[in-house]
Amino acid sequence: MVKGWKIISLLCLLCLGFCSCDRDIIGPQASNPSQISDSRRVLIINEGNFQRGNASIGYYNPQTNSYAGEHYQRQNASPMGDVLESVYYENDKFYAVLNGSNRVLICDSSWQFEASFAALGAPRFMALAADKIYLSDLFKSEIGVYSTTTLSLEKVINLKQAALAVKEWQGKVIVAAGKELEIYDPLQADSLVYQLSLDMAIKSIMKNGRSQMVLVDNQDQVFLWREPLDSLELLGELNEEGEKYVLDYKEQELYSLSGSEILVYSLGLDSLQYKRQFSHVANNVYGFSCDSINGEFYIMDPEAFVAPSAIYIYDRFGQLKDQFRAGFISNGALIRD
Amino acid sequence: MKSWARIVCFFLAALSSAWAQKHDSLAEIEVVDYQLESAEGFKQEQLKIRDDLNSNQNLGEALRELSPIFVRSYGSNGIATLSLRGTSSNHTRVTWNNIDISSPNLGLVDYSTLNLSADEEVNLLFGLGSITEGSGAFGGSFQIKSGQNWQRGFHGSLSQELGSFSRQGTNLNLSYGKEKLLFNLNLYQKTAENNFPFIDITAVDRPEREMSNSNFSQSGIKANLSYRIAPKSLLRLNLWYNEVDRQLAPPITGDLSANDNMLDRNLVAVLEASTSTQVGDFMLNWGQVYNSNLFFLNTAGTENDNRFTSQEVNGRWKKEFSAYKLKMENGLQGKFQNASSPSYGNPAERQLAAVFTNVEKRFTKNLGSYLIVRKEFSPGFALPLMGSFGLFYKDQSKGEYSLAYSSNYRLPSLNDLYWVPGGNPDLKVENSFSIDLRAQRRFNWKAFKIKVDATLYYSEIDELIQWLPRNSIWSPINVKFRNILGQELKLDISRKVKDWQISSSAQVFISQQNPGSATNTKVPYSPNMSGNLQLAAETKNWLFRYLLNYTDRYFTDEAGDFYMPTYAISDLQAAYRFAHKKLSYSLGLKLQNIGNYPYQILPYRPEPGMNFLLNLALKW
Repeated sequence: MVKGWKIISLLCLLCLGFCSCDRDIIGPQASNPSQISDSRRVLIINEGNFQRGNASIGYYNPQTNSYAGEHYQRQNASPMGDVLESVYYENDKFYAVLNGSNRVLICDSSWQFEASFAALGAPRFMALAADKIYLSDLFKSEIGVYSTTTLSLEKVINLKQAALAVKEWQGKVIVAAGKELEIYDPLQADSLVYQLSLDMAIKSIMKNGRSQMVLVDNQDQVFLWREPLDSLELLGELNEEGEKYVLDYKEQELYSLSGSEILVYSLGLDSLQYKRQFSHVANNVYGFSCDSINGEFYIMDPEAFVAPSAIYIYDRFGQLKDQFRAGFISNGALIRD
Repeated sequence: MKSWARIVCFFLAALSSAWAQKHDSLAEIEVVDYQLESAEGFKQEQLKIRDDLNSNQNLGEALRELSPIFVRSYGSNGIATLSLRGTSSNHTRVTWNNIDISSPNLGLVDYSTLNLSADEEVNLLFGLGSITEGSGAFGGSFQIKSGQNWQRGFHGSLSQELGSFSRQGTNLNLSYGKEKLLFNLNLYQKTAENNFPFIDITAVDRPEREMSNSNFSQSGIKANLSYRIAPKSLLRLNLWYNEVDRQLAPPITGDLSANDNMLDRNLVAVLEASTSTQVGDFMLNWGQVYNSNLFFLNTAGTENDNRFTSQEVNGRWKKEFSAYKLKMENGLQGKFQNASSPSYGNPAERQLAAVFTNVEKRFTKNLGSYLIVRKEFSPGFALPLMGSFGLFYKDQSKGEYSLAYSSNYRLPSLNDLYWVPGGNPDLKVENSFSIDLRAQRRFNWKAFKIKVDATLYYSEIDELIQWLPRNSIWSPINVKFRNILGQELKLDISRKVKDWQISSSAQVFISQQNPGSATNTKVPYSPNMSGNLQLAAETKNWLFRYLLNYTDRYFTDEAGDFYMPTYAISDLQAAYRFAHKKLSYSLGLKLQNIGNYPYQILPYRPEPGMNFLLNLALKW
């Protein structure tokens, strides 16, 4: 009997020893933490899987064709959060909008964490104007206005439906929601100073330099909205229905991604002209970004959504220049000029 | 439902206490209940929860505690699915009293909702061992069956558990038996706040925080009414209503002040008639499953009501032809499933009819073989013949050996076909075949009884369905091929020391995905190795048990860039049982995760550290 107990005690001790795994290693770990140096110019935004907390950012260096991922995690030794919807760089600070975490992270220019604040529920896009942060929501028809100093919610702007875009433009805030285009003035207590209604819902809105905005509606009509923003000018209609659009402001060309084709249109002062088209190899496009200075286009393919995204880089004429793997569900790039 | 259950429990407990003073003899009545034949080539495991340690335990918890099966749970109260033999979560099926209760919408089962009673038997058939019951269970299937405890008179049990993080549960079991009649009623309820502390790895200084918004409540009722029409004929009606209401907290990278909600309600009714005659044993059953899943996505303020009903009819006949050393079981199956969801254009339907035969032939006393052939018919699919062929050798002194080859397929789930947007009505079935080689040996060494059980299997799955984005819309597509090579080893050792029965059981599952493949693609959430160990010492009055569950690291993405680290969790359990007058009492204590090991099964979803569960049970 005593011998039996001795054996059991010994086995228990062995098992306790066996289960003494490293207590500091908790949660998901990177298999091969990347140590590649980077240029800090092309920032890839990896949204991550919903409720997996694997959002990340990484830098792509066009000179060495190398990608260094998990940048925030490496700088701060903590995960970034859940569903990184968008990233902004304003006044030497990065703002990372995390939809699933309902949080905006504020970091310095090297991505050292400085502060964060909670949003309305599911933040999506952001604009900074007159020391205020304007934050749209994926589901709510509201824009939250926050102070950049206290990071507290100061006001809620009510819309007719959830915003498709919110952008700073010449000190004012432009909001696109459904068919509506609205301008709010931060210096006039965020009052609505201008409103315009389109016939069709807005699909995309892009800044074109300092004085113009380019809009695409659901019927693939392209409009120019220029100072003083009192009327929209129809430039023309796209040849094919597009899914995603980018503007190459240097060449004044609009790139419309449609299935496996990219159609290129030249923007005139009052017209739109088809120029050329080329094919890309991505199976599914989740993000489409333009580096106008280098004349390069980044196409993000999340593939099966269970592996790192494939990023393809094309030049203006459809030549594939490079391809690399980034993080999970890359949805765009923040390219600093 | 919860307060209702408490009142009924209290009332019935008082009544039962009175009954206990005048209940009849405990003599058991022999009952012939139809047992499904299972092929000799496949591994089977029985799982039984102990009522002296638990009042309420769901199948997911029981598997995590007692087996090396990798259960993917979304935190302590979240959805639990599992990966068996390297397959996906929709490659496992669950039947309750011979009726399939798996969801046709998702094609899988949430194991955290399946409450087990102590009188229920859970039989796990590994691999394609459940082939006569249906297609699609590539990994395995669980057969849960209500017990037939034919004791005369009134009997029952009442147990109450209390534990860490505001967990409490009650279970009341009442039965009344006569020569021809058995009525059994089981009521249960359980709640937990799950407000356990965890290390917040999302903050730089890793502070300790408390989990919130993870409330869980479950209640239900199971009833079994059996009537012996003749000495060898049985008619039984089984009913099960189950309700699970829970808060689903986001991962800790999310907004912990918010949560989603899920309310699951199920009703299962099974009517079964069986008889044993000179021309064989017959069984005819009919079952109906109602399921409602209400999911509240609070961020969006939306509510999703997903429902299904499933009707199933089975007829089976089996007969042993001793002169020819032949056993045969034949059967017919009909199934009609109807599902609705806000994400379907219209309610979706599926009809299925099947016929099978299972023939086992003994060539000598020890050597035999079997053949199973099953043919299914379902509108819209040209289904191939599926089946299994095996050889076995059984010798008490030399051991048991078997070899089985099987083919199977899985129909796409109704979500795969009809989800809007993206559902793909052109999907093909997933195909699979497997080879199982198994050896078992029992022998004695000194005073020890030893049993070794080893299985080697190889399986291939082709046309695997995966949801992929196409033109900005997710759609399921038959895209993948996967092959799996695995080993399962089990070693049981026991001996008697005076009044003590000392036993140990160690199990290891090893699986290798896509061996020999040139690509380095990983299968997410599929550990290469998992194991468990049980050490127990038991007398008539006492039980001491040590449990260890080990899971090797596993990748969370196909590229293998991220992994979840290895974890090993230990539990200690003790129970004391004693009888006083005509009542028997037991007091059980479970100390779980005694190493207070901070671990996560799914990323950023912490599991509880050390916690306890105290259980008091009374039987009469």
